[in-house]
Amino acid sequence: MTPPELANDDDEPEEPGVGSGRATAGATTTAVGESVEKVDGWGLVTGKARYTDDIPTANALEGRLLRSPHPHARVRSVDTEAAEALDGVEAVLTHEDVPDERFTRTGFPYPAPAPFDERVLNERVRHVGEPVAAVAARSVDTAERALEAIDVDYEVLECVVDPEEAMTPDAPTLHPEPYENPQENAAPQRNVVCETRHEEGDIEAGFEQADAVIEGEYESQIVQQLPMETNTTIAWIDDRERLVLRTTTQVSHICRDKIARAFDLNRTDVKVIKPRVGGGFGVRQDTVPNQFICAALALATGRRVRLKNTRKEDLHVSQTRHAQTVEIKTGVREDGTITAMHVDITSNTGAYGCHALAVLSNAAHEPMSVYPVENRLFTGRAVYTNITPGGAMRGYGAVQGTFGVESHIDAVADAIGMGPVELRRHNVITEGEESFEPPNSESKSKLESVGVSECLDRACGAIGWSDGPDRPNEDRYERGYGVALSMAKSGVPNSEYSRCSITLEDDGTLTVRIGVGDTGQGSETVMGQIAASVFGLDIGSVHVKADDTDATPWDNGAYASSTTYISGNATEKAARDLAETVRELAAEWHDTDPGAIEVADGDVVFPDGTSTSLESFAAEAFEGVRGPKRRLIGTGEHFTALSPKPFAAQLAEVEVDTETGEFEVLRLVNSVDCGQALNPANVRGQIIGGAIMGLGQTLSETLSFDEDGTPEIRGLRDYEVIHAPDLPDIETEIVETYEPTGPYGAKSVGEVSVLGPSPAVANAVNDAVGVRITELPITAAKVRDGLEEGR
Amino acid sequence: MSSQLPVEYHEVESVERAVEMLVGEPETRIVASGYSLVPLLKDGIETPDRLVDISGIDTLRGISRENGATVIGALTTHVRIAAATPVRERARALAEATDSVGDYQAKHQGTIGGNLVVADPKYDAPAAVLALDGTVGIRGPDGRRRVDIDEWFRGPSETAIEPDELVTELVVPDAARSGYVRKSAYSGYAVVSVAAALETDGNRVESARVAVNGAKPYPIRLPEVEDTLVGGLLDDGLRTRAAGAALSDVDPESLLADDDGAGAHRLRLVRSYCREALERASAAPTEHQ
Amino acid sequence: MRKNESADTIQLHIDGESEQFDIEPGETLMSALRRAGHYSVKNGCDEGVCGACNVILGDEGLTRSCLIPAVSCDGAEVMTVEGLLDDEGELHPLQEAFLDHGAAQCGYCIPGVLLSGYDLLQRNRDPTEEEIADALSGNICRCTGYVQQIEAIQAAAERLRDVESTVGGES
Repeated sequence: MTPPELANDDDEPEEPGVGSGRATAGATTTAVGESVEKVDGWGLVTGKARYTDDIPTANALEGRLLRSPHPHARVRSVDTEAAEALDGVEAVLTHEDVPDERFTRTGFPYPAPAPFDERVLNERVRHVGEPVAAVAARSVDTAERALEAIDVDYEVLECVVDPEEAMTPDAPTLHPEPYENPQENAAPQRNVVCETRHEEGDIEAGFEQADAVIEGEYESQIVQQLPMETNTTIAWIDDRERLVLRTTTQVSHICRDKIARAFDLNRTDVKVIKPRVGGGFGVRQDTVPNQFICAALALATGRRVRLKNTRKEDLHVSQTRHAQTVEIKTGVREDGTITAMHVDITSNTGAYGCHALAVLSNAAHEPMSVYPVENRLFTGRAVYTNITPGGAMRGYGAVQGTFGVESHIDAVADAIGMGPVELRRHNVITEGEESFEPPNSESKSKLESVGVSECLDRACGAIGWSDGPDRPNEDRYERGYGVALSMAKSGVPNSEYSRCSITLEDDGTLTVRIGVGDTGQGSETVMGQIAASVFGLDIGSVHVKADDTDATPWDNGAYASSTTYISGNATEKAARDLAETVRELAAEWHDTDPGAIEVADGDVVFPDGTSTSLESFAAEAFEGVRGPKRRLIGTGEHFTALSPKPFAAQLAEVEVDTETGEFEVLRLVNSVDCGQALNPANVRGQIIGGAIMGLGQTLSETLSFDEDGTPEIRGLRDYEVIHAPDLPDIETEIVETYEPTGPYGAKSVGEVSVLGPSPAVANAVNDAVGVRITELPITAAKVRDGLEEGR
Repeated sequence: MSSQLPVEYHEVESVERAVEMLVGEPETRIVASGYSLVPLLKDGIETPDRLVDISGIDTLRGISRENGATVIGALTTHVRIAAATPVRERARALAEATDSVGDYQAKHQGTIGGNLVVADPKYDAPAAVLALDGTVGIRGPDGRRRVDIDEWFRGPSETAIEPDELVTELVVPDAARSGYVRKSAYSGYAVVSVAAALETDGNRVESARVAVNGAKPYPIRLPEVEDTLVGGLLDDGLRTRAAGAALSDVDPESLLADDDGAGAHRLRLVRSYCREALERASAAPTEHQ
Repeated sequence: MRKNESADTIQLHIDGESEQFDIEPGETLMSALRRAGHYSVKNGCDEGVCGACNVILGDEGLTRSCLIPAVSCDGAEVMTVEGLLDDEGELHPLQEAFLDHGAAQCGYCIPGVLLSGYDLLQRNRDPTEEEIADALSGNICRCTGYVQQIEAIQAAAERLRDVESTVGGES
C-alpha cells in the first residue's frame, strides 16, 4: 500500500506530523494496513471483558426511576414521605432536590449547538417515560416499592405529537419559558427549536434554466440505535471526595465536563470511567438523564449507586433517530445537468432540542454535497413534540436526507429518460470540488480524496448493472436493481479536538494515552496500529489506555466519524514527537544530528548503519547509561477545519412478488472509499454493520407513538431488527484513495454505509415493478398498494 | 435483581402430582421450557403465585405410534418433532411447521405443549395441528380426556384447558397429503401461517381441512376454502379459487393488525399463503422428501 | 435429587467447577450467575429475545438463561463461554476464528454467539452457511451484521474437522 507520489508538495509548512506517513510508510510499516487482531479481542471472546455492570455491586444501592405516564404535564407536587420512610430507602429525589440550572444533554463540547432546555429532573415533563423522581435503595424490590409509594400530583397538559400540528398557533407550547443558548431562528413559542436557510447561487434562476422540474416528498420513521448493552451507570464518591461515574458513554471527557457543570463541581472532582461498552451508534454521545440522576443519587447518599435501564426503558426513552419529512425540488436540463436543487426538511425533535439543529443541518448538507449544483437551497426546521427526544444516531440526519435525495435523483433521471447511473455520473462530485458545508462552519471544503466515481464503477461492475438482473423463473416475480451514492464526514470541522500522549517504557514498549470512545468499532486498536507503525513495532508492544478521564488528555470522543481521522492524527503526531525525542537523544549519545538518525522496524538506526533495538535504547535511557536518566514522552494534538469525506456506492438487487407485494433483498453491494484502510477487517466490519443497520431501517424497524405520545412498543420482541437468516448476499469492496491529511492516508468509515441501503432498495423496487415507496420502512403492504394503484 | 418469577417453585416427577398441585390453586401455573410462559410472566400478563415445573416428567417426552396416528408427548421439542420420521411421512404439515420455528433456542427448547396452551398468533405449530385434525390429550382431577382440536382454540389466549389440567400429549392422525407455509417476520416468528390437509380419491378432493394462524389472534379454520375444495379436481384453478375464497365472509378490518400487516394486506397474505399451502399439500407424498 | 420449595442456594457444575450459588426468590439463572460474578453471561434484554444470556445447560443444550428459574437448575451442568478455554487456558478454535475474522466488535453479544456456534458444531460438524445463519437466528448483533461471525464459525468448523481427521481425535 505505497502512497502515491505527491505532485503538490510545495513550500507550505506542514503541521508537524500530519499525514507524513507518506514519508516513512511503505515497506517498513508493520501494523497499519493489516487486519490486526483487536487489542481488546481476547477479553471479548473469552467473556473476560468487563462492561459497566460487570463489577460486584452487592453493596451498591439500586437506582430506580419513576417515569411520567403523561406526555405533557406540570408536576404540581411530589409526595415522597411514604417512600422515604420505607426501610432500605436511602434517597428519593424530585425536581426540588436537583440543581435549577438548565443545560443540554447534547454531546458536544460546551456550549454545544442545542438549547439549554432541560434539568436533571424537570418540573414539567414532556414525554411519556420522562423521569419524575429517582430512588436509591438497598434492593431493587425496595426501590420498586418506594416508586409505588411516591405520589405525584400532575397537572395534565394538552399534548402534540405531530410536528406540523405543533407549529400551529393552537398547539400547546412545550418550552414556554425562555432558555439559554437558543439555536438559529429559535421560536419555542411555536415549538420551533431552530429554523435554517442556506442558499448558494440563485435558486430561482436555477429553476428557470431547467428543462424539467421534479418534486418529491420522502418520509423517514423513528428508529433507534439499539446497542446490545442498555444504558448503565454506577456512580460513587471516592476517598478523595471525588464523584466517579463508571458508565456507558462514547464521550468520556464531555460527560465529565457536563456532570461537573451541572453539579457545580470542579472538573478535577469528577472522573468518568468508560469500560468496555456494548455498542454506541450515537446513543451514548449524550450525557443522558440517567447519568445525571445517578450522579445526583451518589451525591445525595454518599454511597455507590447503580442505575441500569431495562431494555424496555431503553426502547422507550433513549434518544432516537429523528423522524423527518424531506421535500425536494430539482431542476434539470435535458442533457442531465442538475441546475437547481431545493431540499426542505421538517425534523421532529421530540421533547428536548438535543442535536436538533446539527442533525437537521447534516440531513441536507451531506447528501446534497454529492452533487455540486451551482444553485442550491436548503431550508429546514426542527420542531418540539411530546415524544421521546431525537438525538444522535449513526448517519446523523444523513440517512433521512440520503433516502430523500437518492430516491429523488432516480425520479429526476426517469423524468428526462436518463439512466440513474448515468445521471449520477454526470453530476457527481470530483476531486478538488467543494462539499456543501453549513454556512457558519469554518471548514475548508475542497476535497482532496474523492473516490465516489470509482466506487460507483466498481459497484456497478460487481452487480452487473449493465446486464440488469436475471429474470425470475415465475411470472409473478420481478427483479430490479437500485443504486445510491452517499457521503459522510471525518469529524466536525473546527470542533473536534484530540490530544494524545505516548510514553516509551523502559523496555521499549509504548503506552498510548488517548480518550477515544471505543464502543466496539476498534478505535483503540487503530490508535495502537498507528503508534506501532511509526516505530515499526508489533502491535503487541503497544498498550492503549482510553478508559479513564484521569489518565487521558482531552478527546471529544466518538461521534461524527471523528476517531480515525482526528484522534488518529493526534496519535500519529504524538508518535512522531516521541520518535523525534528518541532521535534527539540518540544524536546526543552519538554526537551527531537528529536528522541523521532513523527510527524504523523497532530499531534506532545510526548514520554508520549500525542500530540498536528500541528496547535496548529505552533501557539505556532509563538507566542513564550514556548520560543522565531520561523518561521519554511524546505528545500531539489535532484540531482542524478539514473534514475529508468518505464515500459509498451501494447497489441493491430485489425480487418482488407482484401478487403479495412481498419482496426480498437478494444482494447488497457496498463499495466504500474511506481513504487508506488502516485495518481492513475492521473496515469491512464497519461497512457491513452499517449497511445492515441501514437495511433494518429500510425494511422493518419502527418506533411508533400513539396520539397520546405513548410508545407502542412493548419490548424488544416488537422491535424488528435484521437477524442472521435474513441477510441478503452482502459484498463489500474497499476502494482505496489516499487522503493526504489523514493518518497514513485514512479517512473515517463509521457511518457512510448506513446511508445508502434505503434509497438503493427503494430504487430497486421501483426498477422491478414501477412502484416508488417514499415512506420508510418499505413494506410489502406499501408495495402491494402501489401495485394496485398502478392497475 | 427483582423477583421476576413467582417466589414459589416446585418440580414434580409425575403427572398425578402436577394435577394435585393445580387442583384448587388458580394461581398456580405449569411450566416446562419456559419459552412460552416466562415472557408472559416478565410482562406481567400472567401473575401466578407458584410455578410447577413438569420438565422432569420423561414420560411426557417422545413420539410413538397408535392406530394410524402419531402420539407426541407434550414436552417434545419442535426440533425433535421436525426430525421424527412418522411426523415427516404422515403428518407432513406439522414437520414443516415445527421446522419453521425461526428462533434457534426456541426451536430446540420450546415444546409442543407450550405452543398449544399459549397459542400465540405468531406460533407455527397451531395451524398445522388444526389442519391435521389433532386431538389434545389432557390430564385433570377427573382423569384423562381428549379434546378435538376443533374445540381447542377458543379465542385470544384461550383454549379448552381448565385451570386444574395439563396437556400430556398430542395425537395426530395420519394425513396422506398435508403442507405448511408461513410468511416470516424479521423477529423469526410467523406473520401468518397456513396449513392444509387433503384427502383425495385420485385427484378428486374428498375432504379438506385448512387452517390459518395470524389472521385472527388465535388459529382458525377456513371453511370457505374447504367448501370450495371438496368435490373438485385438484388443480391450479381449484387451488386458486379456493384460496381466493379465504375469509370472504370476514371484514378485513377485523383481522389481526400490527406493523407486519393489517386489513386488506393481511387478507392478501392469507390468501396467497393459503394457495401455497394447498400446493404443498397437493404434492404427492414422495415429492415432499 | 433436585430439591425445591423456596431454596436459598443451588449447586451447579459450571465450566468444569463445582460452585454453590446464593439465589434470591424468583430469580432467573442469568441473574444468579451474574450476581455470583459470572459476568460473561450478559443481560441484553431480559425478555428471551437477544441471546446475550445464552448458556449450555446440561442435556438441554443451548438455552436462554433469562427464561430459566435459577432454582430449577440445582445440580445442573452449566457451560458459559468461559468454558470454551481448554485446560491450559488456550482459546477454542471458535474463539480464535472470531479474532481472526474480525467477528467481535463491541463484544456484548459474543459470549452468546460463541455458544450458539459451539452448540451447532456439537450437532453438525460440517454446517452450510444457511445452517450457521439459522443457528444464529436467536442472537441479535447490532455491530457486525453477522457476516464475519458466519465466516468465523465456518472456519472453526473446518479447523475442528481437520484436527479430528489428522490427529485421530486425540492430541
